[in-house]
Amino acid sequence: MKTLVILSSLGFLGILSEILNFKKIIHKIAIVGLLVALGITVTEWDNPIPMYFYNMVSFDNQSVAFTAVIIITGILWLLSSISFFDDEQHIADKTTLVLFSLVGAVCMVSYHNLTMLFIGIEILSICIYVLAGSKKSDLSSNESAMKYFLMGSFATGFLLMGIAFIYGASASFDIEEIKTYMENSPKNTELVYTGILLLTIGLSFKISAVPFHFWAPDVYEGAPIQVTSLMSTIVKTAAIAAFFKLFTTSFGSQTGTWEPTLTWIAGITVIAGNIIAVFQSNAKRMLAYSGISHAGYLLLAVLANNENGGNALIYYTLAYSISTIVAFTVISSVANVKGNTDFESFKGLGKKNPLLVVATIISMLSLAGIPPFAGFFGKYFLFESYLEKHGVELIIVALVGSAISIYYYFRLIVTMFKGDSEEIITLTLTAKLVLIIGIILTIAMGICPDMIKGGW
Amino acid sequence: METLQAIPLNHYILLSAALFSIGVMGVLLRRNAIIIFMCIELMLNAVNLLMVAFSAHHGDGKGQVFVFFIMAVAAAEVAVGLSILIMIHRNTNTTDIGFLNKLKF
Repeated sequence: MKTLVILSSLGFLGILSEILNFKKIIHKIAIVGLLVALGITVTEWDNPIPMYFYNMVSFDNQSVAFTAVIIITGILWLLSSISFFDDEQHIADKTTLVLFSLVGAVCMVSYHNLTMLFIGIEILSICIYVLAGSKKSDLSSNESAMKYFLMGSFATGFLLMGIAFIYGASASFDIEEIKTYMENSPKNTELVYTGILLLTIGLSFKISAVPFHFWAPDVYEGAPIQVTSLMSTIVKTAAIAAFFKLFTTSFGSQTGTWEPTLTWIAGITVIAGNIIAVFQSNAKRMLAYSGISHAGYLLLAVLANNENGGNALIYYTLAYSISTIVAFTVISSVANVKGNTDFESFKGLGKKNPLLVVATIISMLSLAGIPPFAGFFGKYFLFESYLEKHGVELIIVALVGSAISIYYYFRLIVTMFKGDSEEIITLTLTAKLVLIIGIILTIAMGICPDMIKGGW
Repeated sequence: METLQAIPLNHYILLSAALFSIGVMGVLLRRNAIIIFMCIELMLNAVNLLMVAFSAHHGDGKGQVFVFFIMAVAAAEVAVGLSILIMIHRNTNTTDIGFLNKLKF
C-alpha cells in the first residue's frame, strides 16, 4: 500500500517539476524514489493484515513479490533509457507517464476487487498509449499508438463485459466473494461461463496471446525502442499477474470451463510465436514475437492453478524482464549508431565490442532457456508446477517451441560475428551499468535459483 | 424500480448483448477511426446498461458505482484517443485507418 502512495507521489512530483522548474533532475529523482519504493515494498513482506482501502487492494506476499519485480524492472528501465529523455521539452511529461504506468501496474498485481483491476489496467494502458506515440512527427510511432489504442480499448470492452456478467451472477466484485460463490455450485451458469470466456479474451489481448496477438508486432515495432522495452516487460508482467490472480483465486474451482480453452491458447501461442519469429529480419520485431511466445509459457502458470505456479511466475517474469531489458539496451545502443534495428546492423559488431557481445549472448541464452542462466530455471519451475496436476502433452509442445526459439536467438549472436566491421558502439555509462547488472543478475539467479524462489 | 421489475432481466441482457455485438462488428468492419471510437463507446455503454440492470436486480449499489468508474475512465481514454487521432491527421490529412499500413509482416 505504501508503495502505491510513494509511486503516486513521485508521479505528482513529476508534474510539479514542470511548474517548479526542476525537471532537469526529475529523472534522477525518479530512480532514487523507485529505490525507496523498493525498500518500502520489502518491508511489507509478511504483513499480518494485507487488506487496504475497504478490501480494494491486498498486499499479500504474492502481490509484494510482483510489485518488487515491477519496481526492479522499472529501475533498470529508467537507467537504460536515458536517451528517451533527451528531449528537454517533454522530459517531465514522459517521466510522469512512466511513473503513473508503474502505479497502474502495481494496482494490477495487488487488486482485490475487479474495480481495482479495471482501473489498474486503464491507468497502465492510457500512459502507454501516449508513450507509444511520443515521437509526434514519426509516422510509425503514430501508427503504433493508434493501433495500440484501438486494440487496447477494444480488449477493455471485452474485459468489462466479462466483469459485468460475473457481477450479474455473483452480485459482487470482490474476488474472494466471487470465489465463495463459485465454490458453492453457482446457479446462473450461463452468466458465469460467458463472463469467464469474455474475461479470458480481454486478458489474452493484454498479454498478447495468439490468436489475440496481431496488434503486438506492429505496436512493438513502431513505438520508440525504450517504450517497446517497457511494454514487453512491465506491461506483460502486470497483465499475467492479474490473469493469474483472477483465474486461480476467483475461478480456481471452475477449471472445467476455462482450462481447455486456455490450454489451446497456450499451445498455439508458443508454437506460432516462435515459428513467426524465425522469419523476422528486424531485431525489434523478432523480440516482439519472442514476447508473444513467452506469453504462452507464462500461461502454463495460470493453467497450473496452484501456489507453485505463482512462485514460478514471479521467478520467470523477473528473469524474462531482466533479459529483455538487457537485449533492448543492446538494440537501442546499436540503433543509436546505425539508425535502424535490422539484423544487418549487427554484422561484425562481435569483434570490437566485448561488453555488448557478452550481454547479447547471455540475454539471448537466458531467453532461449539454456542452463545455467535464469531463463532455464524459469521454464523448469513453470513446467514443474504445471505437471503437478496435468499431463505432459502441453509440456512437449512448449519444449518444441523452445527448440525452435534457439534458432532465432542464436541468429542474432551469429550475425554479430559475421563479417568484419571495425565499428565500435559507444555505450553510455548507465547503459554499461544496466548491462553489467543484468548479466550479474541473470547468472546469479541461474546459479542459485533458491535465492528468489526458496524464500517461501 | 417499479418499471424495471415489470421488464424481465433477460430483456436487459439481450439488449446489452445486441448493443455490444453491434459495437464489436463496427470496430471490425468500419474503416474510419472516429467511427471505430464510437463503436468502442457503444461497447462500453452496453456494459454500463448491463451493470445498472444487474445492480437493480440484485438490489445493491456496487454495480452503479462501477458504471461511474467506467464513464470517467472512458472519457479519459477518448481524450487520449482523439489526441492521437489529431496527431495522425496532422501528418497524413486523413482519419482512415487504411493509412496505418507502414508496419507489416
